[in-house]
Amino acid sequence: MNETYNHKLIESCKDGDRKAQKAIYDLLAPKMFSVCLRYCGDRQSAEDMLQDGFVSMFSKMDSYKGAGSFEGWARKIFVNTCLMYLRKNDVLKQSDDIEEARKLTSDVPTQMEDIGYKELMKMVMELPPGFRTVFNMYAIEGYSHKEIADELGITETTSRTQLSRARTWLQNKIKEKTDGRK
Amino acid sequence: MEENNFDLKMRSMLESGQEEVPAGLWSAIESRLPAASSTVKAPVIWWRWACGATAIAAAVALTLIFAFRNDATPSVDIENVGAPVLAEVTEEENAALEEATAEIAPVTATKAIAAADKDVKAETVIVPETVVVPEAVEDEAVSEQVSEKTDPEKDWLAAYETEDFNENGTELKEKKEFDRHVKLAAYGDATSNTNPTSGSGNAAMMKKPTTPTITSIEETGESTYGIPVAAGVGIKIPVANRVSIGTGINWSMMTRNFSGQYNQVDEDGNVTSQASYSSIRNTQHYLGVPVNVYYSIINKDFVDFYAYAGGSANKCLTNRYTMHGLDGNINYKSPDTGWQFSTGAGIGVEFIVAKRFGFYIDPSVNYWFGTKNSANNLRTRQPFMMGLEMGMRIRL
Repeated sequence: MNETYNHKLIESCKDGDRKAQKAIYDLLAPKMFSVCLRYCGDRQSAEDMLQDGFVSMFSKMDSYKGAGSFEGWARKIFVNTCLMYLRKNDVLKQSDDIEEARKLTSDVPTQMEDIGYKELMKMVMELPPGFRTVFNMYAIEGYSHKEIADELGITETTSRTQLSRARTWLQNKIKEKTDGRK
Repeated sequence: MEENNFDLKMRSMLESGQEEVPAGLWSAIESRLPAASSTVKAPVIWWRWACGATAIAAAVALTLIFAFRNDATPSVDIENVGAPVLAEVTEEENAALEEATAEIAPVTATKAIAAADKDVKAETVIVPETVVVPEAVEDEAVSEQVSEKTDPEKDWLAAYETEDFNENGTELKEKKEFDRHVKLAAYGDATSNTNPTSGSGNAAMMKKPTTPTITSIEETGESTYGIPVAAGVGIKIPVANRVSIGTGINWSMMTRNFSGQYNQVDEDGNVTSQASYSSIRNTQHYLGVPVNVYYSIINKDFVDFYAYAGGSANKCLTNRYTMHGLDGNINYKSPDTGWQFSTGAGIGVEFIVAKRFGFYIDPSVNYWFGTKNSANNLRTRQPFMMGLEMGMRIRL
C-alpha cells in the first residue's frame, strides 16, 4: 500500500469520517480527473464522472481490504464509472469512427519526446470515442482484447481494429505537431 | 514491437497525469455522501434499547409473580368457623391437638381441617390457633370454643366460600381452572440488524458486468440493510392445560440500499440501456402466516409467562427497486418474489391489565430459509436473527 494512503486514513474513511474523506479526495482528485478526461473527452462529462466516481468509491470503501494498491483499486472504480457513462450514452456506437479511420496513414513518430503531457492529453481527448476508449483500456489500463470485448459488448476483432486505428490516428497527430515545429 | 513501444511511451506519459480539479467539486460530492456511519450504528443502539426493555419487562413480571405468591396461597376465612386467626402448627403440636380434640369433636374438626387444606401441601395442617392449648383441654370454656369452631354446618360454609366445594358440598377436582380463553392479538415486530459488511457484496464489487439477457439489476456494491418491520393479527387457542396454539397473518417489509447497474433489455434480448447508480433502494413486502405452540410456565391473574416455538411461511408480494437519477426516479419491479420460511423459539410475558385485555412482549430467536427464487434481503444475508414482537391481546 502506498504510504500516502496510510491504514489509519483509510479506516477513518471507512467509518465515514468527513475529514479523512476530504484528505483522500485531495490526494486522488487530480489523478482521477485526468483518468475521467481521457475517457470522456470533455471537461463537463469528466467532472460529472469525477463526482460519481468519488461517491461510488466512498460507498464501497469497506470492500477495500488492503490487499493491493489503494490508488489502483480506486482507479478501477473511476474507469468503471466512465465506462458505464459511455455505455449509457451510446457513445461507443457512434458511426464516424470508421470514416475517421479511413483517412489515416500509418507513419510512426520518432519525436515523441518533444510532446508534452498536456499536448498528448489534448490529442487523446480529441480521439473519436470508440478509438479513445479502446486505446485507454488497452494501452494505459492494460486490459486484454477479450476483456475489452466483454466490457464494451464488441468483438475482439473490433477491439483490435479500433486500437490499431487509434494508434495510427495519434501517430499522425503527433507527426503533424512535430513537423509543424520544424 | 513498434506498436508496443508506442503504447509504453503513451502509458508512461499519461498514466500518472494530473489535472487541476475545478473548485467546488468537493462540496457537490460531500452533499451526496451519507451521514457518517449512521446506518451502521443506529440498529445496534436500537437493539440495545430493545434488550433493555425486555429485561425490565421480565424483571417486573417475575417480581410481581413472587410478590403475590403468598397471597395466592389458599386460606380459610376463620370468621366462618368462629376463630379469628389461622396458623400452621408443627407436627408435635398437631399430634397434641389431635389428642386433645379427639374426645370433643373428632369428626367435624377433621373435616374443617381437610376442607381448608384443599390447596396446600398434604403435610400442612391448618387449625384454629386458639385450639393449640393441650393443657387446657379439660377446661370447659375451651371445650366450648373448640366445639363451636368445629360446628359441621359452619365448616361446610367455610369450605364452600373457599370454592373447594360446590353447592352440594362435593369437593371440586381442581380449584383453579387454567386460562382457557381464546385470545385475539394485534402486534408489531422488529428484527435485529447488524448490517453485515463482508460477503458476496465484496466479490461482486469489481466484477465486470456481463451482457444481460433480461432487464435486471446488477449489484456492484455492498448493501446497507434497514431494520425489518412487521405487523399483524393473530389468534391464540388453548388446546390443553398450559398449552395453546397461535396463528394469524402478518405483513413485513424489508429494505436495503446498494450501488449497482440497471440493465434494460427489450423483447428481442437486446440491451437498450445500461446505467449505474450509486444508490438503489430495494423494498420488499411479504405476507406471512406464523404458527406457534405456547407453553405457559407461570399463569396468574395479572401476568402470563410463557415459552413458545414454531415457524412461519412468508410470500413476497412485491420486490421493487427505485433508482434515484438526475432525471428523476426509475422504478423496477423484480420477478424474484419467492417464499421464505422461518423457524424460531422464544419466551414471552403478557401483562393482563384488564379483565379481557393484556399487553405482551415476545423476544425470539429465528432462523430463515430461502427458496430458489427468493429475493435477496437481510434474511438471506443473515439467516440467524433475533426478533422482538410486541402487541396486545383480547380475551374472548
